[in-house]
Amino acid sequence: MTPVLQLHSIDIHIGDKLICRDLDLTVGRGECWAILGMNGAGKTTLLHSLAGLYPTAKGQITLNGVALGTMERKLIARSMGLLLQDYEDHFPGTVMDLVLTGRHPWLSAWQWESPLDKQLALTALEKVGLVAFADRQITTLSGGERRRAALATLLTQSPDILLMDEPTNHLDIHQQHRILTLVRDLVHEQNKTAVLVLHDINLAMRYCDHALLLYEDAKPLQGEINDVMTEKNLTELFKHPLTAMDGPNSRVFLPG
Amino acid sequence: MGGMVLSLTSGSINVTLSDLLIMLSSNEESLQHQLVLELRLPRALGAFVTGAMLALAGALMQVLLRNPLADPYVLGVSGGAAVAAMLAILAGLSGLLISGSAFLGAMLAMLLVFGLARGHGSWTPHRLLLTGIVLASGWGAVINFIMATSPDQVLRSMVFWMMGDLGYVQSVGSGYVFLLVGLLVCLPMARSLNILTQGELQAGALGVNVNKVRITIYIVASLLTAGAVTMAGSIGFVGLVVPHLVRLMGVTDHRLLLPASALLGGCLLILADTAARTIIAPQQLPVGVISATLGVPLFLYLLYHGLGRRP
Repeated sequence: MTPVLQLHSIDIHIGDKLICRDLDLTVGRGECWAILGMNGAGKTTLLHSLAGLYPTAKGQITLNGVALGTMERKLIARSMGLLLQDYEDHFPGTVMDLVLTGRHPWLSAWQWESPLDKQLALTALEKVGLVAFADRQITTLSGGERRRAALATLLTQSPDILLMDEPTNHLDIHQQHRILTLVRDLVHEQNKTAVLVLHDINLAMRYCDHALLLYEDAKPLQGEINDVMTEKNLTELFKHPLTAMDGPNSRVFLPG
Repeated sequence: MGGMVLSLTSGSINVTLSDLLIMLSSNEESLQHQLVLELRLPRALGAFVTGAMLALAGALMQVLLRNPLADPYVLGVSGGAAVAAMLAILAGLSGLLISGSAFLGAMLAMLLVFGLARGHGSWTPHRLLLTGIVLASGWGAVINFIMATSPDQVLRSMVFWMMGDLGYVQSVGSGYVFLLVGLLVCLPMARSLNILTQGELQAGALGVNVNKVRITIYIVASLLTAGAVTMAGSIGFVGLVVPHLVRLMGVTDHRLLLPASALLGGCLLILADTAARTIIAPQQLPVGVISATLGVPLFLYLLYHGLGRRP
């Protein structure tokens, strides 16, 4: 396993609240991680820290061995992309315009998108099933369509590491599996790395191979998914009784 | 788009241009010759550069504050300029000294907003907007105080700074320098601006150096506004409406939107100024009156046709 993203004794605060203390984490190439925790546990903040977009109180994050803080944003964006949970669509623009912004880190200041860039954007739109929407205004999209457009932007950026904040939010069950299958294929076939914030324990069980559980005491649990995701750990994590059962593809948890 | 702008230009200053051609070919020192070359031409050039600066500043402010309703004056730059100019008038200064202090006032207003909004904490558009608006109303109060306590004979020259007037345009050349430098600084950042409209996090995630871009466009937009206010007082609506008109024409990419806004803003202000000095000629209206009169219905039209939904 080649480490691509590493945390070295990281502290992260949100205001006065400590969300993790002395966190060491090594994400290896070709791994798919799930971050789970209750509302307000700091999952999103941790993900933003991984992207270098939220300051850590202590410690260091390295991307392919280089300290994130010393890197230019543009270079970071070439190897690491982030799917955000929310969008700000105050200005008009088409889906194609949006998806093409994924090429930004690969273009110089005066450079315009080439036909090849447009082809990449179209391919990404195809993968998320939005080709017919290329000329639509982003403000006319539904929640799920907007989510998939954001995903297409990330695919167009084509980073090696995909950080995704609740990628299945707003998606119907078919699209949830379609998108997560897409992510898993990227990880398995192209040796990409993914870190997903997920709410659905069963989706995490099915599509991820590692998990990080963010507890309220700021001491996260981490490891291979089958070791970490146990009845006891998850019941404690979500403060709700959960029962493990054997599902068709993986272990599943039902609320009791 | 380009053709549309060109037709606007030729339509608006057609009279001036044809006059100009006759003047130039006949080469005689007539009164008309003087009128056109020494009064109308500098005034038209001044109108163009003022409108262009305001429209460009407006487009930048809208991205900076991520608010389509922002205009160049929203952060109080014009208020600072007006207060400084009025104090200069009261102190008995004249001409270039008044313009100079207006410019200094605009700079001061800009630094004040910048310093206060930075504080210790994050420099969010929200915070910037609130700081700017509060300071702008502070400037407004000072302006009202000065006007209420000033002798009548200086009130008229003070009104200039409130309404905007292209009749006294000075140092047109430096305006063009401002505009050119502003465009040259912003154009290489234009693709970053496209992404910045999606929010700072998204911009950061896509490799935009958000702080650098924001500070740069803040400084450029403020300098452009300061330049425009110094030349012609506060002319309303150009900075707000022109970028939206360009967007409504389907141009949403800032690599095109910025230069197109500058062009259209310049052309519109020439039109408005021509109207201002012909409607009740030989009397002249302040151009701010005309641009607002054009701006209000245009803006309402935009509002009711929705920004996201192109025709």
